[in-house]
Amino acid sequence: MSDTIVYLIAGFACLCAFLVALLPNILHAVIALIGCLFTTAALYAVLGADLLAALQVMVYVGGTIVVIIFAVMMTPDLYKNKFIERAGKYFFPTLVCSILGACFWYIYMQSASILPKAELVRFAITKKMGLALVGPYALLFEYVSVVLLFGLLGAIVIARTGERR
Amino acid sequence: MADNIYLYLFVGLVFFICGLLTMVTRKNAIGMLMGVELVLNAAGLNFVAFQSFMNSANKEQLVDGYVFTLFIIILAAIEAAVAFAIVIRYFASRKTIDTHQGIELRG
Repeated sequence: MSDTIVYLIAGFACLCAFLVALLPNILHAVIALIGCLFTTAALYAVLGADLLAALQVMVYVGGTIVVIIFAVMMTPDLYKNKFIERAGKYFFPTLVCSILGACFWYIYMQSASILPKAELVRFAITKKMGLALVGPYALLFEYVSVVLLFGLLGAIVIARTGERR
Repeated sequence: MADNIYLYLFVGLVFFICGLLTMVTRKNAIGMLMGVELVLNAAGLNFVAFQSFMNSANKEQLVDGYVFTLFIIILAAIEAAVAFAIVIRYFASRKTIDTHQGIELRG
């Protein structure tokens, strides 16, 4: 029963990913992207990374998607033909991406002997992640926080129109 | 059967390929940003899947892959903010976010 649910989640994730790539309307693609992000959070939860599932929902679905929908507001004529891509344009990129995907899958199949095989054992990760972030990964954590600060400052500087009061 | 790493690798692969396709085919700047988000998501899913299955196979409780996924999520948020700022500037000067209109830097 639970296996069926995991397969359904995985199938829905793949369907949403295809819709993101192929839907002509940008707003519909954003909604499909929300489906992708939610199903990824569900897969994190299945894999035992409950903290990451919560973070995925909060940061991605709560933050990034809102930013993207803000940007969609700047798209004029959302339902006009201007934003409907031509089908012929998809042919060559789809072909190349399919070949690339087949190559990757071939590599996965060839490396079956070194991939880990086990029944999933889940444990509480939150405390261990907290300890890792102030222990072995403290420097990296500070680095990411500085990158976040300067990224946001840079975004503000770029987005200003240059008019002075 | 859900305890099979191939399921998660397959989903990650589909995310990566679809993200790549989105980046290549869309001429809308927001569409390209969505492709980047999908690719980053695929990387995070692979990190978590490998960490979980390595932990289970070796009977360990390591969290390195989870920490890197956390960093990927944070960097994706930064990237979305900066890209949004660039899109705002682009829209202010062009009144469109069609990337085919920005040809001043073309050599």
